[in-house]
Amino acid sequence: MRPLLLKSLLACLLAPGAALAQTTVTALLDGQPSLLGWEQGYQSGAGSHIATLSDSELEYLSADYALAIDLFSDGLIRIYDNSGSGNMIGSTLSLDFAGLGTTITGIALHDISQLGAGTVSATLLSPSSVSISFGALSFTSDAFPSFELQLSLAPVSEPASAALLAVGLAGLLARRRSQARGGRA
Amino acid sequence: MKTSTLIALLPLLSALQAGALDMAQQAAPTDGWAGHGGGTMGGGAATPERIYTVGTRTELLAALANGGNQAKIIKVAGTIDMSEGRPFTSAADQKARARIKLPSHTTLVGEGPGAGFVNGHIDISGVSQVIVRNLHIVAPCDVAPVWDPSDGALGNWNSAYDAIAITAATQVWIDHNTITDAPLTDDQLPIENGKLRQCHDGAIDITKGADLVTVSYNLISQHDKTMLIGGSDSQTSDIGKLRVTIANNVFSSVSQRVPRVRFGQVHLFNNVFTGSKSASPYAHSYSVGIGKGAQVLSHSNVFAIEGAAGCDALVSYPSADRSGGFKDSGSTLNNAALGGCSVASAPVAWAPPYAYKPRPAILAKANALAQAGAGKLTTQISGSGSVDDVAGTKVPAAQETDVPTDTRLALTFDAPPLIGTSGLIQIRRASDDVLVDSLDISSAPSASDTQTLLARTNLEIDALGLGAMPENPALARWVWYRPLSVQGSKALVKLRSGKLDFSTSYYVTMDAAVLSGTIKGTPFAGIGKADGWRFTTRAAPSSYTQVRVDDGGGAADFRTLQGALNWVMKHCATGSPADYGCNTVATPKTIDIANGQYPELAVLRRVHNLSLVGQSREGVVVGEANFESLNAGSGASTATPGTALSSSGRTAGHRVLGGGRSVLLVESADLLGLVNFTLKNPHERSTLYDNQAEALYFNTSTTAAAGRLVAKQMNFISQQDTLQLKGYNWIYQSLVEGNVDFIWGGAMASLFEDSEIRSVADPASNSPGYILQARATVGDKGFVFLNSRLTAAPGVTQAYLARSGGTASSAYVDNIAFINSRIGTHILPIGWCVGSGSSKTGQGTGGCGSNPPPWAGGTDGGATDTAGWREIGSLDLDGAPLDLSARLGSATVKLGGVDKVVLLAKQLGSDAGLSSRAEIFHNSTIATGSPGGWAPLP
Repeated sequence: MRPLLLKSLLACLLAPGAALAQTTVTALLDGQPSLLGWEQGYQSGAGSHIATLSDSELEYLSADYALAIDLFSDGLIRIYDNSGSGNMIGSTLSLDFAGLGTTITGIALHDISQLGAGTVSATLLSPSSVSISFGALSFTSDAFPSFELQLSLAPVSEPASAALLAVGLAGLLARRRSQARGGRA
Repeated sequence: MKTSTLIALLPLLSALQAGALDMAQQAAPTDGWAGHGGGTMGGGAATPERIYTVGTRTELLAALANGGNQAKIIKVAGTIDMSEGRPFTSAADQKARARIKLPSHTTLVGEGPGAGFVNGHIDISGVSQVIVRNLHIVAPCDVAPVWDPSDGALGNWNSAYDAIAITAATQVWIDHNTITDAPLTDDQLPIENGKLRQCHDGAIDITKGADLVTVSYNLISQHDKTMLIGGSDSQTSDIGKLRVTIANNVFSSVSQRVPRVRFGQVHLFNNVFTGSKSASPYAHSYSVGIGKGAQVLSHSNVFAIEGAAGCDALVSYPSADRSGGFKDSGSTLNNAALGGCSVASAPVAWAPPYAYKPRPAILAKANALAQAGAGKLTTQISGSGSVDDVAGTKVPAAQETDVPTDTRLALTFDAPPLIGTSGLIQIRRASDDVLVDSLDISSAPSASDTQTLLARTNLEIDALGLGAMPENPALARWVWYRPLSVQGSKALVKLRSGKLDFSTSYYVTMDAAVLSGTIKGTPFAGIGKADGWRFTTRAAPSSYTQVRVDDGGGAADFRTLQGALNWVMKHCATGSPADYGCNTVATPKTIDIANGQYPELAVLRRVHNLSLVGQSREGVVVGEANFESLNAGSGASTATPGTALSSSGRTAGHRVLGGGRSVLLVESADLLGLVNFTLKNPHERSTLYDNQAEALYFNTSTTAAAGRLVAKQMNFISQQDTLQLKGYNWIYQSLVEGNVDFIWGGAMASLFEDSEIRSVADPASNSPGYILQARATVGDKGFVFLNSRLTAAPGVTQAYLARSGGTASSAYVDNIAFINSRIGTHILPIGWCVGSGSSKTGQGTGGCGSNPPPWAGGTDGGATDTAGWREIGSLDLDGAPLDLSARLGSATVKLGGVDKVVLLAKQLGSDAGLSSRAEIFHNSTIATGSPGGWAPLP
């Protein structure tokens, strides 16, 4: 039930529809164009970090195959632990949605129910790009778990929303600290 | 415009992984049948002597044969064509040559991208514990498919040779391989009898009771019949076996049998199947075939098959038998759930006994596409396992005939054997058991030594040329040598020179103590007469004047240079009977040397007009390490070996036999030709030893009637004292390498023309080296360098042109002249080395250590136009005039306590007398009895 607060908070920011369909995504992992994109069969090579967003394909694997990134046209971002270890090493992922017909107005955590411990932060870099950073993460399962973030795509008035979000997150931070201490041995 | 989210949770528990094993040492994963029942390690526990790297079929077969049944890792480097470029000519030929039969406890891995097989058939039968990883395997094409009129309604072609066949084998892991028909795809095959004349059999077939097999992360593409699991409904002994896990593979453009199963409990998860019902070639027929008793449990497989609608397009009963089943969860077809299948799920009542966790389909697809196939793993594993020969191989082979009389003996072990410290190697004549040669590996041969620096075991005495020098049958060059050596996994034995007769049978014995190691897993226990290492030597060569040497297996008169020299000396030396027709300079003699390694010391005495001609300059390498501390002195042939112990030097107390420290000792030979090979003394200077180490000592007189040497397109390689020359020598278009005094001797005239004189690094000293130490005869030209190049090997920054060997009593002179030569920047600006030492010229006052001033004869020892250290026309290596302003010229010496200025080195105003072979060799009289008789041509 923990993400409820965040979800309700995000609800007012979310844009409906499939605004990102067929968008070209350029992704960097820790600043490097090392990701393996689906259109190249996940093989390394020049341009493998550039992929067309597709709801039926998983867009990227990391070069060490430990991390998988699935993007959806409604702005959902799902990040898998593909190592099967239930842990994920810290990284920074940047996603640039060039030529987007609309603007990205925010990014927020979505389904984090499988996350056990660690830190995730996300930053809106521009109206068409975001950055997601996480420290070392552990999950509550090792069966290829994932966590999700959600882009907000509707053109809403940002300053008020941003301020509201920041307040909400501060509250979440405190809650999760106390819960997590009891939740993991 | 900027939004961020943040969560912070408890710190992670430490989740660091232990250091990962090299890919070649890994065991099969635990989430598959091969990980069950004790697991599959293959040869992962191999010790270094059973880790092999193979790049050819021959090496592969040797590695497969060696090491017995103990764990082995075979690393394939590059692509091995099992046909070796010779197309298979028949079914029998293909069956024999294509087969890669893996023994138990074997891991066969590709080194990295590009490693694999063509025209090969991996046969894993009747064994256990086998791993095959990271290999690109072109599916073999049967050269003789068989028409079976009863196969189907119309008959069909059947072929043999699966890329990988697993029959009656257990605990097998097939991982990260690529198997494909390409480049010979089925559309290129002919149609005969109305059917495609299919030449490809299965990709990975698992039959006849094979069990506990995992097939993971393979890419199988462009192939028809992919995986047959269980070959026959009547093979009911397969019930309870054929337990196979197939996970994370990509099956791309394959037609059928992915897999086709009988009886087995087959666990199929997270595989990706791509293709099209309408493709040509390789139209999709079906993927999973459920045959008799098959129990296929499927999880989260991804089918992307164009034109396939529903499970029944993928999973079917390929025969009338409906006793098998297929049970699925989580699989997808063309991005939708797989849906219901007509094939029953009820027969699948088993659950894997191992833990496993399928990926969700979308993740499984990406994961398999990313990782499946060969070349995505790399291994750094390496070891010493023998791939030279099959262990136990002998040279000469048992019962071999036509063996050259100077054959080496070789015996191949599983891995490099250790040389023992005692025991005998003996060779006896087969007809009467007479002992012909006995090599004692113990220290007994050097019993009189008091020194301890040189290892005294495996140290024997050879008498090079014994019996081959006509003027005295007792004469020989006596040298210490090491009869046993190890090269790769071979033990090599050098018998003494000249011990075997022509057309005679011999046998070899060895004490067990001589070597330690294993042969096909069995410890070496010596070789007795009953072991039958017997061979027969060849008949005598047909020619005295033209013989051929080859170290390898090819037909040749001799295997060693000394063997050929003995033959020529015996018949064509000046003391040989005239009946043989070759004992004078008028008759040219030639020894041709085939490409190969000739690690030996040699002697030539009193043969005129002999040429040693290499097959190639770099490909023929003659010489083994010899040096002052091992065989002191310049050396000579004597009728008895010396017995006195050395009284000085770093191996004082070592018996001096008298044969000297050069590789090739030449005595009193006129018109010797050395052409187109490498003569190398591999001894490296070391502070432990006295390091004089000639590659060649050309010993003749110090008169105008001295012998002549012609060396063309040669490499003379050593460090200290590479060439010791006397008489008249023409070194043309050759390379001389060394670091200290590496051209020296009592020459009359030695001309180095159009040659490279290369200074090499000195591992024993940081001081600059010296190219020359001339001890030339008064009145002749000495050492002349004409149009030559002085170069530096890596690591060499400083060297002198020459230093003097002079003492107050010496008769020789420092006659050296550089004429129009190119001189590298490593030669110090002062050029010539004079330090504080003394000679007849006086006591030096230069900065070059304790080296003395040169002596050029004359009244004060100073250089003149015709004697001493001289130079004209020097250029840098680019051909620009060299700045000689800092060159040594007039300098102060002290004579009787008085300072005196002497011209120690002279820059000539003219190259008169030094610009042509005719001028330089003008004094030589041996050709015609008077001067001017020798002007050699290239």
